[in-house]
Order: sequence, then structure tokens, then C-alpha cells
Amino acid sequence: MSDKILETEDLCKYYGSGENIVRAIDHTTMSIQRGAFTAIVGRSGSGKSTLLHMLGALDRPDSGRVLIEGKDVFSLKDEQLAVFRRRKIGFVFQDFNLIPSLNVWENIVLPIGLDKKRVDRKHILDLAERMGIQDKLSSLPNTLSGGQRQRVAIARALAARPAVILADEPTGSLDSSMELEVISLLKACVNEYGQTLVIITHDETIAQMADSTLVIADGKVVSR
Amino acid sequence: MNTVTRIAWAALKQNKGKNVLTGIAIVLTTMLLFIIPTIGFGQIDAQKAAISELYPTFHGMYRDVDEETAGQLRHRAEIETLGLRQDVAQIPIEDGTILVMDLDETACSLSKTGLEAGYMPKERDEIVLSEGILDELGITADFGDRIRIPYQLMEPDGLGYEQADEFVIVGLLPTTEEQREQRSYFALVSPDFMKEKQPEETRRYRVMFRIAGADDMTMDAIEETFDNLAAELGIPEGDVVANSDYLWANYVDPAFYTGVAVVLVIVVLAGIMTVCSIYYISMIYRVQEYGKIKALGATKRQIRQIVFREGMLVAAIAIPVGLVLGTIFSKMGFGYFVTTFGRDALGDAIIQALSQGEISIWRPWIYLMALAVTLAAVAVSLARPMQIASRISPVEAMRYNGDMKIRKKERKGHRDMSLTALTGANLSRNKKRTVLTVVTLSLMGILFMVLSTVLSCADPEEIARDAMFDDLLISVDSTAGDKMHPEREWTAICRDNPLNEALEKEISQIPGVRKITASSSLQARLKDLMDGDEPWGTEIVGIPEDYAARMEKSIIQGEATYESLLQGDGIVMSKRMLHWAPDWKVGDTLDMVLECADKKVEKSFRIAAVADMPDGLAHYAGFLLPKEVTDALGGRPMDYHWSIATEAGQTENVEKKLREMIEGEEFLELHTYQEEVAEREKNTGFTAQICYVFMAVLGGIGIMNLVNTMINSIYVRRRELGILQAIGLSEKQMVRMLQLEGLFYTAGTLGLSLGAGSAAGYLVFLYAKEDGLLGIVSYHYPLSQTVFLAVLVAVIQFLITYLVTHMFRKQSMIERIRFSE
Repeated sequence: MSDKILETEDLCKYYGSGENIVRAIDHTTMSIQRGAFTAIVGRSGSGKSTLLHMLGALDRPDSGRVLIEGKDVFSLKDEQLAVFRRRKIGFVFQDFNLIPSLNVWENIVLPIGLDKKRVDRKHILDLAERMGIQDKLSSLPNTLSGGQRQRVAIARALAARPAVILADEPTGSLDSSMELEVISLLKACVNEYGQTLVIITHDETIAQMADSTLVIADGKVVSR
Repeated sequence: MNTVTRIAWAALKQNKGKNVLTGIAIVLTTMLLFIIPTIGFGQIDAQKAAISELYPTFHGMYRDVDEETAGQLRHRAEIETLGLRQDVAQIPIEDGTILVMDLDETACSLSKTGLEAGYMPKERDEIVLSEGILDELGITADFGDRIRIPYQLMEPDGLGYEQADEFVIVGLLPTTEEQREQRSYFALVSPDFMKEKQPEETRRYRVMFRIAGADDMTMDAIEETFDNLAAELGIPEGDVVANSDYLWANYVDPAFYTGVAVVLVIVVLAGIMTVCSIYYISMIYRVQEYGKIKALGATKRQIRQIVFREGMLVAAIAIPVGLVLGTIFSKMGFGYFVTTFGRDALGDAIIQALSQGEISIWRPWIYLMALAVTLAAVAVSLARPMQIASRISPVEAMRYNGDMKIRKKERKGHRDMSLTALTGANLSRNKKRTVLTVVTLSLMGILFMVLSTVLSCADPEEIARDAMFDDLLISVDSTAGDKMHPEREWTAICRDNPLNEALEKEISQIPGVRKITASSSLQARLKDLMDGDEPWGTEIVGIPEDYAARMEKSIIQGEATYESLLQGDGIVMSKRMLHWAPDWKVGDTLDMVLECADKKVEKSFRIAAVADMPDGLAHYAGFLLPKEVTDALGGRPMDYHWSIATEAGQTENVEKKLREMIEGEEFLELHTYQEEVAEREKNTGFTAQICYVFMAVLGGIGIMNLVNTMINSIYVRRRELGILQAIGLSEKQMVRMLQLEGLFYTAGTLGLSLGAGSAAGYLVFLYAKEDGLLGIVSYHYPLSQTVFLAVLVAVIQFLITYLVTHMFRKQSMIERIRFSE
């Protein structure tokens, strides 16, 4: 198995047409090493979020390929892609995106349930403890603070032990004291479970914690 | 156009999809608001016009009233006007009747008897008749001519011997198509002639009357007044006739208006609900935009104005469309009703009145009402969005996503998550709303079930089957009490009964005849019940053992089995007899004179039971005995009805053969099940159609409600669904989840509709049966309608889920997840 877990080949995603065309991703070729913590940085509108969505198989590119563990993900049908995604990728969003009608425990185990797998209770309790939310398992998300919600979201992303964790500005909605704590937690977990972490951020401090940094401008990787 | 209106107009074009949806809801609401009262009131108006044109104007009539009672009635305060009719004689013609009567002036005007020419008869030898009568008699005569007319006097026990007199024609009555068709006419003679031929003691008037102070009364109150008066004066219930159509047309029950109002309120509420939630959903997208406008300096008031004007612009387009469509559909619907179900004198009068422009179904106030109510509904629907849009701060607006607020803090939850658990969590998120949705959806379903039950019980075929157990019925055609034709008496016919063994053999040999079931008839007079000076005449039906179960099933009081009746001392009385003899009860002994072929037999019977018998069993007889008993009493086979069952598909053949067979038989007649069904269909058809239209309206509202609920629940959660997809919910799973949700609503709605609807339907059936509504005889669960409702709800649910997910898929997952950013 190659040690490149994520690769893109000549990836393009354009919005609009003619004079108004926006080249969100423009012939981007890049790769990410297995087990690495990679930060993708860039200005607002540079195309970093679009790149993350392509990497996470949430959105289809106009051309080019995305390979996860050597597999061309967009050659899969929607149905297969959904299954592939829930087994291989965990997402952490900026605004947590928890399901308001489910309690903390249910939110965390949801990806496992959707995959019709049995919940490894010990693993989840362990995760919850690491995230410091073990007392909140039957609370509904609306009763939690921003930091707690994001920790639930991280636990949810890690629960199914996916190979890759993709985080889109995971600290964007948190105050600065929470920021480092959340990132450290993420990093520690990823290390422990041998997962690959990709974070989008424009926070220099976070970028410096990463093993490697990709800088995106006008839809292209300009430096690493 | 000022800035606010321009922004509203731009927003209108920008949000075409949402506004088309809103527009459709507004068009539907306007249409329903217009069509329901237009057709409702149009129908009433048309009927009123036609009834006032055609029907006599008396409120009620008492039959068989003697001179003394008539005199008492004249002085009663309850009676406003009173007219007397005395039937004097009949002019004999083949297969028809010409009544000769004396009408006083009030009776003439109350019964709308107007002369085409001449004057009412005054002298003893003066007569008023019609061209139809002259044609029937084959007499060519004119006004002022003296002609000789044969007649048979009405006598207490029937018609007297034929005699003839010379009369001068002093007036002419119009001849109607219906008279010619039915060969039923009447002629008028003078009071002098009547008094000469009908001495006071034999006179039995028909008293037509109007109740005093009726203008302020309802139909029920009027009927109650003359029913009470009849009871007080000892006029039997069976001799009280209400001029129901006239009363109905002129003294509309306030309950009717309440009914129309309730339907309209349901429509308005459904309309408001639908428009409101469409706006509410579209708000979620638009609030951000309003936030921007606000940030640019718009005041709260201006924001409210923008939302309001956009809504009103949609309404300004949708309401006229709704009114135009409503006008078209009303015209079509009304025309359909009138032409399809009104092919009788009344219907013809309605069509004539319509085509001559005497009545118009278009009422300006309905247009105005539909316009105003819809506008008000839109305004009410806009209130909430206006409030949301104006109150929100520009910063909040940017983040607004219309999430439902959850007040609960904790949830017990499931250890393992599954689709079902996820669906359950969503449904229980707002239990009140979920329950409310199921209940509102079910209300329509319950109404549907009640109407279906009524329609299913009023099934013409079923009611016809109640009157005719088999496909064909051969009956003896006898006439009682005609002195000129004693040979037509049943007592005469039965001596050489055409329904004899030879005929039975012949019929049973017709290919396709499966079974012949014979019932007998015996004429009887009741010594304890007087009809004038004569004992009351009635029939006793003699049923075969094959019908024993049906007879036993129809018993409502007392006890009797076929075997117990074979003893010969007990008898089953029809419930109908209670109209004339309300005091009779089980256990009473009745003395009867049985009129057999050559003798009269006195016999006493104990009323063993009272039964509510199907017409096919009792054939309108007052009493019932086993056939063996009636035949024994009659001293010979008294076969009167042969019910003939045929093999499937052979009925027409058998009918043809039977018609040939009985063609020369003067005293036999053939009646078919199909004729019976046609008759019943004519009776129930109109009501059924009204019900179907009402159900279609309800269905439309229900579907609007359902669509709205589903769209609402999916659109409000579209971001959540996007997230679920991002964390691994596959397309199939999403559709399954939405279908599960739909299934819950379907199951809940159906459970409640069918459960509560069936119960309510049964109660309505009991009421209808008791009141003889639509001829309903027995309960029939509306199975096909139930299946239809279940399939319809399921299919609609499935379709909506499919369409919504299809619409949903058009947006990429990213758009959905990020749409609040």
C-alpha cells in the first residue's frame, strides 16, 4: 500500500461561466501522507473549502481525479460513494452540525449506525472521556457550549475509526481559549488511532502545529 | 414604482419556485371558496325557483278527514289557510286514472290548479277537464259543449258501479307531458255535484293547509306543528303528508347555512395553513436577504412592507386566476349536476329557468367574499414572516436557518443508532406538532369515511337487492275495491291463479333459471283499526321457509321463528303498521277477517314479533306468516310473488322468455332487478354526486395539507439531511428514512381516520336508517372506499417523498450543509 493516502490529479472545479467564471479548483495535483497532520491554508475564496469537499467526496469535480488509498472515489456510484465515505472519512465542520433531535451519544454513534455496524461501546466511552463529554451523553446538543459541541462533533468523526479526518475550520466558531484545546485533542486522537488529519484553517498557530502545510491561492497549490 | 415595491417585485421574480407554489395554494383556496357557495346556493336557488314554479304551496295535507274534523281544523289557530279536496269519482280508462274531484277556491290556489280557459264549475252539471282527458275518452268537444261522461263513484270500500251523466265543459285545465305519460289526470266538478254524490257521512276530505306564522319557522318546526295537531285531532300518522320539497325550498334549515359555513371555514383554515407554511419555509432562505437590505438601511416598516407587497403581488395574480377557474368549474359542475340528475319535471323546470335566465348562479357577493377572504387569509399568513423578517437583526439574519427550537434538555436515546431510531428521534422532536399533523390529516379522513359509509349504505344495488332478492320477480297484478272490475280482485284471481304449477314447470325449464321462490299473499281486514267506517284493509305475506332466516333477522321486538309461526296463532307485524296503529305491541291479539277465494274467515292472531322487514320479503304487506299457513288459511296455493334466480349471464335471456310467456296474461307483471336498481340510482345519484364532490374538495384540502407537511418537514431539515449525508447517510437510506417518516404519518392518519371514521360512520348509519335517509337499509362497511383511501394516502405519501427527494437532490450536498453561511 502506498503511503500516500489522499491524492488529487489535475483536479478542476469551476463555478459560473464566461466572464464570470470562478476557478475554485484549477488543475490541482497534490498528495497527503498517511498518518500526517496537514493544514490547508489560504485566503478567503482561495478554494480551500472546495478542495476539502472534493477530498471528502462531498462534491464531484468537473475534471480530474481524487484518490483515497489509491481508489478513484468519483468512479463510484452515489450509493457506493456514500458507503465509502462513511467508512473512510470523518468530517468536522466549523459550526458543528450536530443533529438537534439526537442526544450526544446518538450523535456520536450515528455514522456507525448508518453503516449498520454494532457500536463498540468501550471505544465510544473512551472517546467521550477523552473529549471530556462523558457526563453529557444523554444531553441534547442545544444544552451544550460551543466547545462541547465541537468535541461531540470530533468524537462523531472519530467514532467509526475512519482513515481520514477532514476538518473545515473546526475552531472557527470557538473562542481562542478553546481553539488550541480542540486542535490538541484532535491531534492526540489521530496520533493514537493512526489516522490522517487534514485541517482547513487561516489560523497561523494551528498551521504551525501541523506536520505539513499546503497553501492554496486561486484554486492552485502554491507552496508546501 | 417606489423602491419598496421594486424590491418586492424583484424578489417575486427571484423566488419564482416558492411563489408559484404559494400561488397554486392561493388559486386553490380561492377556487374552493368560490365553487362551494356558488354551486351550493345555485342549487338551492334553482330548486327553489323550480319548486315554487311547480309545487303546490300548502305546507302539509291530512288525508281521509271527515266533515267534523275538517270543521274543527278551520277554527284552529295553528292553521293560516285551509283548502278542501273531495274525490268524487273516477272516469274509467284502461291502464290509467282520471280522478273527478271538487276543489274549493283555497285548495285550488294552494295546489296551483289554474284553468287555461273558462271558470270553475258552479252548477251541478258543469265540469272542468283537460284535453288529455278528452283524448283518452276519444271525445271531440270544445268549451261550452255538453258531453256524456261515464264514471264510477268513490265508495268507502272501493269504486262503485259505472254510471254516466251529461256535463257542460265550462273550463279547461292544462295537460302536462307527465300526465300523458302516466295517463293520470283529474277533472273538477261543482260542490253541488260532489254533495249529491258524496253524502256528508261518506265524505273524506284531503285538507291542504298552511301553518300560521311559518315565515319565522324552520321546516322541522312547521312539520312538528302539524304533526302535533294531527295527533291531537286523532288523524293517524300515515294520513299526514308533508309537502317536503316545498317546505325544504322555502324554509331552509339554518343547519344548512351552518354546514356551508363550516365547510368554508375548513377551506379557509386549510388555505391559511398552506400559504402560511409555504411563506414560513421560504422565509428561511430569504431572511438573510432581508438582513442585507436591513443592513443597507431599510427600516423595520420597510422590511414588513417588502414581505407584505411580495405576498400581495402573488395574491393579485393568483386570486383572479382562482376566480376565473372557479367560474369555469362552477358552470361546468352546475351544468353537470342539473343535466345528469334532474331528468324529471323538477329538473326540467330548473333547466328551463336557467336557460331563460330566470335564475343566475353568479352572485357578486360570492366573488367579493372569495376575494376578501382569500386576501385576508394571505394577509394573516404573511403576518408571521413579516414579523420574523422585521424583528431579526442584520447579523442574526445572516445566520438564520429557521431551525426548530428544542426545549428539551435530555433524551434517553438508543444505544445503537439505526434509521428507525433516527426517524423516531425526528418525529418525537416536536410531539405536539406531529400529533397535530396526524389529527388534522385525519379529520379529512374521518369525514371521508363518514360520507363513504353513507354512500356505501345507500348503494342503489344493495337497496334494490333489499327490495328484490333475485334478478326477476313475477307478481300478480290485482286491484282491490273496483266494483266495475271485481275480476281484478285478488280473491277472484286466486281461484284460477296464473302462478300455478304449469307455469312453474314452464319457467323452470327456461335455460338459465336457477330457482323459483314463491311467496303468498292473503288479504285481511283488521277489525280493531278503522279506515273511515270500514275495517282497515291490509295484506299478509306468506313466506317460504327459504326466507326464514331473513325474517328472523329482521325482528326488532318480540320473538318468532318460522317453526313457531307454523302453529298458526302468532303473526309477525311489519314495523310500518306502527304508523297507523302506534299502540299495538308484541303480545296483543288482533282480530282479522281473512278474505279468501270463496269465503271470509275470522281469525285472531297474537303479535309474536314486530319486524323491520326488507321489501323483498314483506312486499309492503302489513303482516307475515309462513306460506304453509297462508295457503292453508286461503284454502289453496295463494302464490302472489315468484322471485326468480337466474344463472350468471342468463338474466336477459330469461327475462325475454318470461316476457313472451306472460304476454297474454292480464294479471301478471314482471319486474326486474335492473329496473329496481335504475329507480334507486335515480334517487340516490344526486346525493351521491354531491357527496363525491364534497369528498373531492376534502381530498384536495387533505392532499394540500399532506404535501405541505412533507415539504415543510424536509425543507426545514434540509441542512440536517445534508449533514447526515456527509457523515454517511446514503441516498437510499435518506429516501428510506423519509419514507419511514411518511409511513408514520400514513399509518397514523389511516389508523385514526379508519378507526374514528368507521365508528362515526356507523353512528351516522344508525341515524340514517332510523330516519329512512336515502333508503338506507343495512350497514355496509365502505371497504372499497377504505382501500381507496389507504392506497391514495400511501401513493400520495410515496409520490411526495419521491418528488421532494428528487427536488432535494438537485442541490449539492455542500449547498445544503452551508446554506446558512
